[in-house]
Amino acid sequence: MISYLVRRILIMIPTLLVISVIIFTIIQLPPGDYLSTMVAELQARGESIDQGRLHFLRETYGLDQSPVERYGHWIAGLAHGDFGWSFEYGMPVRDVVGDRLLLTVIVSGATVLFIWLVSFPIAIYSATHPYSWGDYTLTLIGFLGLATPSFLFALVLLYLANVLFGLPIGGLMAPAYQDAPWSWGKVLSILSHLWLPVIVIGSSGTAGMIRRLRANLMDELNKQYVVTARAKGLSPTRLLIKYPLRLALNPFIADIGAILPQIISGAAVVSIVLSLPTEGPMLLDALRSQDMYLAGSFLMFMAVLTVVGVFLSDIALALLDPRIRLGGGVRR
Amino acid sequence: MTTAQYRYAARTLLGDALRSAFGAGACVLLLSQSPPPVVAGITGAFLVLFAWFGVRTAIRRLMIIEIDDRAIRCCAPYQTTIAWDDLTGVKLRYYSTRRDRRAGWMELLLTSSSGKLRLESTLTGFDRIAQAVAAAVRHRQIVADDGTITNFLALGCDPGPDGQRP
Repeated sequence: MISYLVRRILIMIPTLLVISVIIFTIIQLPPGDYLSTMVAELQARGESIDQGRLHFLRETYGLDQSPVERYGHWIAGLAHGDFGWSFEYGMPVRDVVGDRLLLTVIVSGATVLFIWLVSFPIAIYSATHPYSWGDYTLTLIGFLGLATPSFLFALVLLYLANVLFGLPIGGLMAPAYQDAPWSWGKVLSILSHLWLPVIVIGSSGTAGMIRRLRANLMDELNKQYVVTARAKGLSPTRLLIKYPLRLALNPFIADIGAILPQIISGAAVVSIVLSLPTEGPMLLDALRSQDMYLAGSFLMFMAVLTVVGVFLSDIALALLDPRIRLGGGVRR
Repeated sequence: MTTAQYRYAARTLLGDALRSAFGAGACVLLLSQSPPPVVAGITGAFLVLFAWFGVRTAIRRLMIIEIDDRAIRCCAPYQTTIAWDDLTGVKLRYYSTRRDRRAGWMELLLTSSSGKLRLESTLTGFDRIAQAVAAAVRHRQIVADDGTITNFLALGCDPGPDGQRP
């Protein structure tokens, strides 16, 4: 296993480096930079900016350097926790971002947990009771979850939560805690507000997971070894847990890596609708205004989260099912 | 009674040595940039892992595995003997870093009351060792997990009666 871990970690290093180059290149692709956009906006309003000051700002922000030099400074800064300078906010990216990255991790982590906890028992029930009323009902709910746009679902839930239960609309914590330092009160406030975004963001992922696990489990349950085990008198629950469920779990675990980017990108729109202080809305603004270090840092963070998610799911898969595939071939 | 000796060839361990050196170097480079505490902690853990992997690769280079009708033993750099009659557990794992699960390698773990022996498929003569282990599993009727049985069958070894096959 240690060989596997070492090889897998070594794959992550060039992957992240390539992603960082792609992110930086894409951010540089639109013509102009933050200052030229700002000058254009000022000119549109009939205002002007002193050329000397413009030159000074260009030098200060490093915009006079070549893209390669800027990339070098950015990536070297990332290594020691310096994410660069936000042009729009006029302060270090780290200060602008504040708790947003942590809150994004909390929302994404809770959503993955929600997807697992809800889809797992439902999928098992549906696979072991196929074509029953319960299966049809759960399948219908699953299809609704898949087909409903998250932002629409968010608006509906916001309305229902407020009208039926009198709960506050939007946000991830009570207004009193928004700029307050971390405390138990703040944690509890986040926990009490977390359910709504988690349900909204996780609904489509849950539906997809239910469909996949149900299909995999039904395939396994129809195999001959299950019939043999039943004929030998193995109890249905023990049989289910010991053999078919383990094999059906493979795609379920492999999906962890794929879920994370979906959750994060899907959460961007939902975060705007629900006024969540996560990275989504700020990333959108940063991309619009070409605030390249702020946007780059957010995108890099998402890339790290995705790569780590895939890494964890690969390790879980290697532990769960270390079998060779037919035609695989062993290296000597 | 014939005794066969097997070693890890230097050529097959070169990749692991380079991996260990590259990984440890990258970790040291990152740690020298004084990263934030969380990143430093994770990088430090990775550095320990790469260093351990390097030590293990060096040990493998020195390793000599002997096999005969009575036992499998590691003669160097440390002594471990697993008599076939004492064999209590066998695990044969397959790992691959590729999505299509090709070009992977196997890891064989033998357990007995006297100790454990872990071998990788990069060992010369791994096939013959696997055959001997499969014969011992069959003879002692050791219950192996599904993954182990599938992997033995993929190597052309039959570790048990038909009832054990998945």
